[in-house]
Amino acid sequence: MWRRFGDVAFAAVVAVVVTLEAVPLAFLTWTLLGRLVGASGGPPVGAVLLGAVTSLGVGLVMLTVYLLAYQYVSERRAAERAERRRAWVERWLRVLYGSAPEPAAAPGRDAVEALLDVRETLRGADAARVMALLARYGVGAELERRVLNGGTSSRLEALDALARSRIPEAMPTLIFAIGDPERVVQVAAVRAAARTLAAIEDPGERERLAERVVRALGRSRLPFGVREEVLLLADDAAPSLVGAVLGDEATSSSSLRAALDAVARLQLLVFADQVVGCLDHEDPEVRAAALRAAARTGLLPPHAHASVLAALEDPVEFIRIHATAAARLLPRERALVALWERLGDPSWWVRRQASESLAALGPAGLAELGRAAETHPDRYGRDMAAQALRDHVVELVEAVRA
Amino acid sequence: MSSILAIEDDWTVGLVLEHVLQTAGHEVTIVRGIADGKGALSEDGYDLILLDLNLPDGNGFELLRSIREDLGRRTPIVVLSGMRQEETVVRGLKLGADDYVAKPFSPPELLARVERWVRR
Amino acid sequence: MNSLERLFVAYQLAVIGYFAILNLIYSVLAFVGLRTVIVYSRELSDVSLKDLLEREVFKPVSILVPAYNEEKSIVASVRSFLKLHYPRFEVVVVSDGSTDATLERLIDAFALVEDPRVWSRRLPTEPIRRVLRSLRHPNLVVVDKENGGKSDALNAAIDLARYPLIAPVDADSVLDAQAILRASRLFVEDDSVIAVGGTIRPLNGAVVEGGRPTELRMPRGWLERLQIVEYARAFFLGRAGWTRFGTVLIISGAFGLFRRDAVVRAGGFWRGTVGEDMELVMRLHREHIRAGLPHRVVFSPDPICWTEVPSDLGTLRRQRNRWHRGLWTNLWRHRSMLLNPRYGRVGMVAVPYFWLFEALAPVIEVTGFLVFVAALLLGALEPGLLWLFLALAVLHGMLLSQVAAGVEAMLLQRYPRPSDRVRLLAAAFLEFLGFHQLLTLERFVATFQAATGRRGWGTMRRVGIPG
Repeated sequence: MWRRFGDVAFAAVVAVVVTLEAVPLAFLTWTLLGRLVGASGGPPVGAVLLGAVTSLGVGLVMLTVYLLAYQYVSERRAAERAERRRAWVERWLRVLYGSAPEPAAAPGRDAVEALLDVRETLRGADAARVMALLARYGVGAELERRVLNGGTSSRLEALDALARSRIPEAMPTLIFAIGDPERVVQVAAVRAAARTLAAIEDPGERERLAERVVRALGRSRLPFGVREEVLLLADDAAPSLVGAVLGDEATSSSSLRAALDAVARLQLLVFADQVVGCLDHEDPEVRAAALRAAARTGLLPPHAHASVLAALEDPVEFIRIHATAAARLLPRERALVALWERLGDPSWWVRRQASESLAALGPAGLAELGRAAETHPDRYGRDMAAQALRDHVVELVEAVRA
Repeated sequence: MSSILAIEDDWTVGLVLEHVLQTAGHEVTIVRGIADGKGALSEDGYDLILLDLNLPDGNGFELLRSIREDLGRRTPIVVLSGMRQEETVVRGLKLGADDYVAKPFSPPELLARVERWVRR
Repeated sequence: MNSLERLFVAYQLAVIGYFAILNLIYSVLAFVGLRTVIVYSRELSDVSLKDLLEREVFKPVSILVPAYNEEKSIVASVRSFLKLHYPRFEVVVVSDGSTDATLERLIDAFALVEDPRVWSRRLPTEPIRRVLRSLRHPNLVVVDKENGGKSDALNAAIDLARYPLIAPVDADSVLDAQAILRASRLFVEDDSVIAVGGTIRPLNGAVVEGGRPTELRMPRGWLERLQIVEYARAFFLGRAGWTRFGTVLIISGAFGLFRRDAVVRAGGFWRGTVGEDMELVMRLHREHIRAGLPHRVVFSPDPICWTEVPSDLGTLRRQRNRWHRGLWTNLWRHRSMLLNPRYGRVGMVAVPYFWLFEALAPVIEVTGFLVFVAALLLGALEPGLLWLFLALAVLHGMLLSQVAAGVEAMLLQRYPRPSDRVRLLAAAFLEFLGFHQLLTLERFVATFQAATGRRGWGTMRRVGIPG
């Protein structure tokens, strides 16, 4: 989206230009003020004005020259860098797959970027060789140093590079950076930590680091969306992270929700018990997330039925919506009865979910929908059932054929 | 000596594919988008198609479906994508892909899979 | 010094003072805006963006397209929206009582069939005749309703939207393929974000392929070139600066992203203004502050929306007139926020700024100029001084425009040809040698029309306001 080349230089130029503007203007204001109160002496207004105009003029010329030069230089540079990076990618590939020797000296920035690009695409033994190369040139250590010192933009760049390189040794630094006061740095650090965690092979190591990441997340005030993103970014390490969250006594509602959502999205059936445990949580958002997870994973053991039935009557609308989604997992007869009732729920979304759940129950559910379309006491329930039948006409046809 | 078409917009991945496949003796053509992909496929000369799903000018699934249904090609298609969710994989296979390799990928594994499909 | 001279010096001082404060604010905004841009450029790398897409971390979006008599371009526009690079979204087109073939073209192109769907109505609108859905594109919904204006059309679309995020756009907006992703991720990263605005850039002159600009070229007309600079200044310096202080008051109607629930709770768009985009944002601030709810309205320079800007003077003047009247209507409606400490920075900084330096600016500039000329004629001012004052005002504007052109040069997708770069910089110079003054005059006229109660609607076009 943006060229990073020269942006700080440009900010410096703008700062100079703005000063060239501000100082004469301040002086002008001062001079006029003096004239107003009758103070004599001091330079005539005309001279001050001329000075201000000249100053601005100089600033303008400076800026224009800079911009023209920048256009030319950045264009050339961009082309050169792309070419250099491509050449380096090819060279690294020859080192990996051909017989080219590893560069003796620490390679420059473009070379490191190219190596990170290669790292990004590989897995397995070849990736391990890239990691060895990165270690040989001390790339990880350098990046960690930049994360700990430097301005925001430099830290963000380093965190992005660490996210791509996935160097396990950098985890402590990343975990530390999750506690950074700046939110954008926190988010970048947490993303890098998730990606690095995903590349750690040893399960024990992964569990241990997952717990530390989760604790760091808990201390931060990152919102639910980021927590969820972390869990999803962690790929194979997601179960470790989710396990750490669900197993932690002091875990926040926000993290719990994220973990439950990850269970739903990634189909982590191994956490069925913990999901059930959250069905009675005091926080309605957590209860809803647990219901959603149960509905998505399709696991609802018998001792959880009571919670779901209770949730169907919950005064909070979104709880009822998710409970209605999970209701299809209840024993057949109870499910049909509960969903029939929900068709008459005052909330449009609950009614809609009820009809969807019925449709998902196969021929028995469709038959119930058919009955509801004709004889349900609630008018809106009848409308909703009829609409669902139209939507699921394909399933209906197949059910009739079978 | 087979001819492989890779529809992939990330040029690092493209370079890696070139290296790996060409070293193994296959001919590789890389195109960077759906439009170019359709253009390349107008002549049916490829023994295998490697398809990325996240392309800049459109939906990879759509192209997959189009190759199987509109063009009616039986060329083996291996999806090479960073999207690893179960639903995505299933959808790809249902739309007609023969195999699904997640990114980041292991080159020896990719090569083995490619050669298996090309042998048939 | 006689009293006339004294009066005149006092007036000069006031104008210079106004000018100096304005200058200071612009410079601070420019500087802060620049920093915002620098940080944003590193915050969301290509890798992160790819991750977000591949891991399907996103919130689904409903794109809302109000349309009135757009038969010529509506099909192409909707096709362009349907091709956006986003995992899950829908497009809700509302034909606001179109009297031409808009609906017919849509029905034909997308195989639309009527859907007797029942849906929940939360916002009052003019009657909806029918709701149509596409057999080919399950995520396309078209609404045929009776005419009620852009706000009304948007409210109808909001009711039918099924996703938690809504993106009101103009029918002729061309969204960058990644615009929605870049905007929506901000909602994921921060629960308190209720609205996100992006950058609007003129499409004029660009080479367009497959519905997207592939190469940027300067358009032929100077009027269009001048607007390119203007927009760059408004977005990269103006809004990028405001967002750092948490006081974004406008999200352009050409492209914005909102949380549907927040908009519905606030009551949807207001029909009583031609600047409905700004009015909604002001109202969102107001309602949330009153209710004590944490909220953020964010401008991000990354999501980009392209739009055709007027190429003839008449259309341009009508547009700016409308925008200014809309501005006044909105400020007047929310006048209780002005300098009201209850509304924090919004009430104490942003709203006064808009009153003094946006709404009243044309009045001050025009009367300032007239007073200067009068003083000249009365002999209270030497001609030389007048020219110098004018030069000062002009140079200052040029400077800011150049800075904006500089920020534009930092985009990967910028005007690449050297000749175009020179033209862009020339436009930055020329903007303040007549163009700006002409538009100021138009806004001056608009102020009087607003004061005397003109409520003209005009055609349904975008009513964003470049800051």
